Amino acid sequence: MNFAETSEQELLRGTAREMLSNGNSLGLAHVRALNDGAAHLGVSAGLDDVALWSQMAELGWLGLPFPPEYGGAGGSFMDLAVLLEELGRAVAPPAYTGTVVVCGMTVLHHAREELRRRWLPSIAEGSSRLTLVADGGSAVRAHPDGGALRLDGGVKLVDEAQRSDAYLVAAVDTPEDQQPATTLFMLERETPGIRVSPQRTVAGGDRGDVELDGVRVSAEEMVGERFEGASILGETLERGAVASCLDMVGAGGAVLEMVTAYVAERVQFGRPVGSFQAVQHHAADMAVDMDASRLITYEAAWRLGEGLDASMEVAMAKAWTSQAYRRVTTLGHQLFGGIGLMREHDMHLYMRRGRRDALAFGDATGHLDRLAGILEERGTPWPE
Amino acid sequence: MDFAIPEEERAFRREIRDFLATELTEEVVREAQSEDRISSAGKDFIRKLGDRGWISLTWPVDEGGAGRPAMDRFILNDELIRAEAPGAVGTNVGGRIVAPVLLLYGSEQQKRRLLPRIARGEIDFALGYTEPDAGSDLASLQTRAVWDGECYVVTGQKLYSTGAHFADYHWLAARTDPTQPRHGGISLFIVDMRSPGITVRPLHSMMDLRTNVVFYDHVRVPREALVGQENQGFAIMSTALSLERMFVTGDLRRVVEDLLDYARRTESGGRRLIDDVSVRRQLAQLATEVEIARLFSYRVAWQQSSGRHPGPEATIVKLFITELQLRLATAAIDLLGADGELIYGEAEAPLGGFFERFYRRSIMRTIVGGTSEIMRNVIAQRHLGLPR
Ligand SMILES: Cc1cc2nc3c(=O)[nH]c(=O)nc-3n(C[C@H](O)[C@H](O)[C@H](O)COP(=O)(O)OP(=O)(O)OC[C@H]3O[C@@H](n4cnc5c(N)ncnc54)[C@H](O)[C@@H]3O)c2cc1C
Repeated sequence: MNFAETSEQELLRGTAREMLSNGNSLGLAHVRALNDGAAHLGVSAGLDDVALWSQMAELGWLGLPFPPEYGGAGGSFMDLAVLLEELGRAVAPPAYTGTVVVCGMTVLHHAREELRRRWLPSIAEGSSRLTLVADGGSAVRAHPDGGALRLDGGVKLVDEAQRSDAYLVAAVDTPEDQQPATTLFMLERETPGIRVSPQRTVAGGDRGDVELDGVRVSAEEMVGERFEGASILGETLERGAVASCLDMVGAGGAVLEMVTAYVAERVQFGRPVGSFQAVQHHAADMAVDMDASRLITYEAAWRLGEGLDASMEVAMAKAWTSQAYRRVTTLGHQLFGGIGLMREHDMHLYMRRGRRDALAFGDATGHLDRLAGILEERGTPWPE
Repeated sequence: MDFAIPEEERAFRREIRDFLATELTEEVVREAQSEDRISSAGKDFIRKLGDRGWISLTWPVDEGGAGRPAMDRFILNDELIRAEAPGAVGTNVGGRIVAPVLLLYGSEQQKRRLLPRIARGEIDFALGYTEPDAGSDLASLQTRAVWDGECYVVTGQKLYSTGAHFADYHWLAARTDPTQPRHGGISLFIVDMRSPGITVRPLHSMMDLRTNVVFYDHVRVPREALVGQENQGFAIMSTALSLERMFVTGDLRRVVEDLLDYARRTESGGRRLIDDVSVRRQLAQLATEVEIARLFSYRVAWQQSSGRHPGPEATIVKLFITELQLRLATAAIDLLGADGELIYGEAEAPLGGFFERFYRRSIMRTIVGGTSEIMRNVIAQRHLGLPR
């Protein structure tokens, strides 16, 4: 094992941190305004992250994991992980994960060449955003309709529901006389029959329910082969889960730093509150929680990047990090006292983000249940 | 970052397992896990570790070692603890703790005299830090070592000195200069346990592990017994304590596997335990936490192997692993239901009562070698930089 980052990763982390830090148009101040608007004014207002998005394109971030022939930078999954952690640290708008990591990489690995050409360069240059419309259940169904297929159903609380240019839709598609299977489609927003109802959520952002009503689709729009979407979707959701973990790892690291700096300075009873042992022990527990989250998350990311079976590690990472991040933000609030509850303070952005990330791509309980199934089958998490 | 386990590490693990398959007899295990921890079978086993060159595995070649990276010692400890073999905890203090410190601070004469015998597994040590009034606050220790022109004369009392009843030497911390501030006046000595004036009395613990009180009554200790400089003891002790903090998870991984196995084959109320949703979730949660512990422990071994100095990471490992062990043990006895009350060794006890005793021993781990509260203080103050 080697726990050190490569020099490229260190460089990327440094650049990302600088670009996303305060005083930069890409930075936390900007993000703060966006988040604040999104959280309090509703999705229709305050969501202008276009400037941010185009800067991310200029920095090469939007094409980071794509090969150069699709306008990308050819980065590894571990490089991407570093960037995702830094975006989380700045609670940056969450469209990146959906567009690049979840949909973009699925198109890259599984779509036909035409679809890759259609979407990847356009994602990389910042002109297209994609989002996943799937809930892991059977919310969207495909029905034969003449020679084509028709999609009906809906998925609640889709990310970037209104602003996305295309949706990666997972539909239950049942071959004749056989068990239900899954087929994936890439549908443009303007496709007739797609309707979006915006929903306000605690973490803000462009969330909404996406409904498909008699949407006619053809083989051209399929990602992967017909009936073979389940494993692709599984892989897509694993990447999404790890991306959410990385977001929490970054965000939790920022919370720990903010809190530590604050309690070291805030004086009550004639001494810094950070010198009280009750406060110190909370801070120590937060540090351990985030350190643990980071290791288990990077292990899962590494396995995904290496193309190894990561089902167990992803479930562990998502279950643990979702729990740990909640503990960390709750203690963070406790240690800030009243000021952390004020909207002008960043702490609430981090709490809100956790409400979203903990649920995205499966919550802790769901992942524990999945993990239990794997453990029951394998008998051990550590086969030799 | 790279989480792959290289083939040579896997191969070393296999080599250890092969060795254990032949050399680790039931008798050795029973003895290693017994109240007294070690006698003839255990000592033979440790000597066999020595014959393999495994006690001195990581020492430099010109000091008689194999010059292997710390990772190898980590793997060895991990396998030993998994197999409940002697050599990883409670015993082999000489190989695990004293020798690495001697390599850094020992005199040529000490190294020549002691290292080869430690390497062969012929001698062992007991740690003599804690006193009745100096537990977490080691710097307040009061055992005195007074230079009388010829010898140090040591008087005082050491508490919880585990293994002192079979050790050949005491690794003793004593105050040489009472005028210096707390940390300042402490020195470290290697004292022959047969020295006149030393009395060892047993202390029996609820874990079924014996420890001891060691009384010093005007014990004469030669100058050559001093390790490093006079009054440098606290720094050396800190180094030794950080060496002690190479934590492994072989035992915890085994318990998770045993629990899974038990839950899969045990029925309660007409269905298997593993079919109960709360059991499933708890096992999944514990497996996750043990995996995290495994990564934490590997990180420290990697730091030690690659010339980095584990700082906060070593403290985090101690805190996380010991608290996890307690959670794991608690879950284990809960899973057994009423049978969890059956004591170790009772014929009807599930797994021979292993979980029952594991629980009692887990209560100790968050205390021994630095309590969880002290670990949190260290993380907050040294790692996060919070004010004292
Ligand atoms: C089975 C066993 C084997 C041992 N083997 C050895 C051995 O071989 N050699 C050896 O030298 N020692 C040995 N020890 C001693 C062991 O390391 C000490 O017991 C341990 O360091 C705690 O010291 P204490 O028991 O005096 O507890 P105390 O220090 O009295 O602590 C009591 C409580 O107060 C808390 N506390 C103390 N100081 C602080 C603080 N600053 N902030 C917050 N909380 C605090 C502690 O966390 C604990 O909860 C052994 C102990 C046991 C039980």
